[in-house]
Amino acid sequence: MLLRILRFILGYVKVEVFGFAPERLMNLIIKNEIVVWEVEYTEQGYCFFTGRKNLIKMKPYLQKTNMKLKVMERIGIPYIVKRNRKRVAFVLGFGIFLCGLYILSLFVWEVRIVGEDKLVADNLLERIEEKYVPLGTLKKNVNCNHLEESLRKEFEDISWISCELKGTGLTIYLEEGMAPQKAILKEKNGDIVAAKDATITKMITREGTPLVKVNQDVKKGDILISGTIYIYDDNNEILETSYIAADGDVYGVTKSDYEDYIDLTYYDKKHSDNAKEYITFYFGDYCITPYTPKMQDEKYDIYTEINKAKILNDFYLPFGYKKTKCTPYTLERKKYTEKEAAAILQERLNKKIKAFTEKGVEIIKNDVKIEQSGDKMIAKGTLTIKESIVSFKENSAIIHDKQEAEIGEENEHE
Amino acid sequence: MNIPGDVLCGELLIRMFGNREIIIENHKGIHLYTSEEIIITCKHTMLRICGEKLLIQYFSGCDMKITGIIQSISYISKAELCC
Repeated sequence: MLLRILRFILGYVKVEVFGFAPERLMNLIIKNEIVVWEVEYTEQGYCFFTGRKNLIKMKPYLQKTNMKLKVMERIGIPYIVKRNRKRVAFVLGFGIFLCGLYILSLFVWEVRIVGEDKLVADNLLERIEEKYVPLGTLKKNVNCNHLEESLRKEFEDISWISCELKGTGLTIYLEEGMAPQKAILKEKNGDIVAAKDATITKMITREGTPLVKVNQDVKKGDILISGTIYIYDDNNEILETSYIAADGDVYGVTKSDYEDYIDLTYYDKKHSDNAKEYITFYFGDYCITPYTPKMQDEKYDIYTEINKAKILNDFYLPFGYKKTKCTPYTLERKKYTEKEAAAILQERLNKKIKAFTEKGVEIIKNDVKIEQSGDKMIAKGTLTIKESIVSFKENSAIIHDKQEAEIGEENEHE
Repeated sequence: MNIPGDVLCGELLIRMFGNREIIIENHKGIHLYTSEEIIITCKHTMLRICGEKLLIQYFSGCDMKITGIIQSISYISKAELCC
C-alpha cells in the first residue's frame, strides 16, 4: 500500500513496447536497475508499468534493440498537476477556501443555551456574549471549566451547568433550581434565621440548638436554630463555646400580599395582509441589504429570522443571511367585559398559585378578591401559605472574631 | 563451511505458493514470455514455466514474481532450446 502511494506521488506510466526482440529489451532495462511491474504479454510485445523518470533512462536501450515504445497511460500527482496547469486560479482558489475554512474553525461563532426558562437563557446568553465569550473568540482561549464556575457564581439560580465546545459552537446546558444553598450551609458556621414573619408549624433540627417551638410566632431575622453550642462545667459556667453550621427544616404559615390589575380598555393589533419581506446578507457585523421595500404604513411588526451558515451540525461560520418580514398593523380600541377581565386576572392568579405549588409551597387560604374599580379590574388580597422559612446567617460572633484577627494582623505588619 | 548454493554459486532460488504464485531469485533475465510459457535464463541452465494467464507481477535485476495458473516447471538445457 505504501509503495502504491509512493508511486502515485512520484508518478508512473503504463507503456507498451513492441518490435523485434522485446525479451532483450526487458533484460537490458532490468540490468540497468530500471524496475518494472505487472508485465503483460500482448500480441505486439509487452505491456508494463514503470516509474515516470525511467522513460528517459529507457531511451538508449530502445534504440539499441530497435524497439518502439508507446505510452498508454500516465498516472500520478505530477501528471495531474501538469494536466491542470491551465486551472491554476481554480486550484489556488480552492486552496485559499480550505485555508479560510481552517482559520474560521479556530474561533467560536455560535453560543447556544439549552435550558428550561427562556428568559433566564436569553439573559445568560447576553451576558456570556458580553463578558465571557464574545463571538469570534479564539477556541483555545475558552476554558469550559472556568466558564462553568464563573457562571455558577454569577447566576445563583443555576443549580447545574455544563459547557460543551463542539465545532465552532459553544453549547451551555443548564438547569435552574435552589440546589447550591445546601452547599453554602455546609461550608460556613452560623444560625438558621427566619426569612419572613411567620407562625411555625413544623420544625426538624438536624444540627444546632433550637430556640423556637411549634405554634410560636417569629419575626423576620429571628434565630430559629442556633449554631452556637455552649459547654458548661460542673459549676454551670460556660467552659467552652463552639460554632457549627446549624441545619434543619422549619416550616411556617406566612402571609403573602397579592395585587394585580388590568385595564378594561385595550388596543388590539389588526395585521394587514400586505406583509413585505426582504433579505439581508451579513458577515460579522457588516450587513448588506440588496433591496429594502418601501413601507408606507407607520406601524408594523418586524420579524427577523437569522440563518447562520454552517457545515454539518456544529461548524458555524460568521456569515449568513437574515430574512425580515414586516407586517403592518392598525390599532383597534376594544373593551373587555367584566367577565373577560375577571377571567384573565383569575388565570394569572392560578398561574401564581401553580408556581407556588411547584416550589413545594402549600396554599392554606386564598383571600384574593376580584373587583372592578373605575376603568380597571383589580385582584387584591392575601394568600396564606405554608412554606419553608429557613434562611442562613453566618454567626455574628465568628464574623466579629475574624474582623478582630484581621485588625490584629494589620497592626503586626505596621 | 555450510554456505548455501544460492549465495556461493548464484544458484537459482525458487519459492512457490501453491500453483498461483512463484518468486524466482538469482535469474539472469527472460528468454521468452507469453501468457502460456515463460523461459527464464539462469546461470547454468534455463527454467521453463508453463501455465495459463501468466503475468510477471514485478521484475527487477535480482528477482521476479510470476502469478497465474502454473501447470509445470522444468529445467531445460540451452542445447535443448536450440532444437
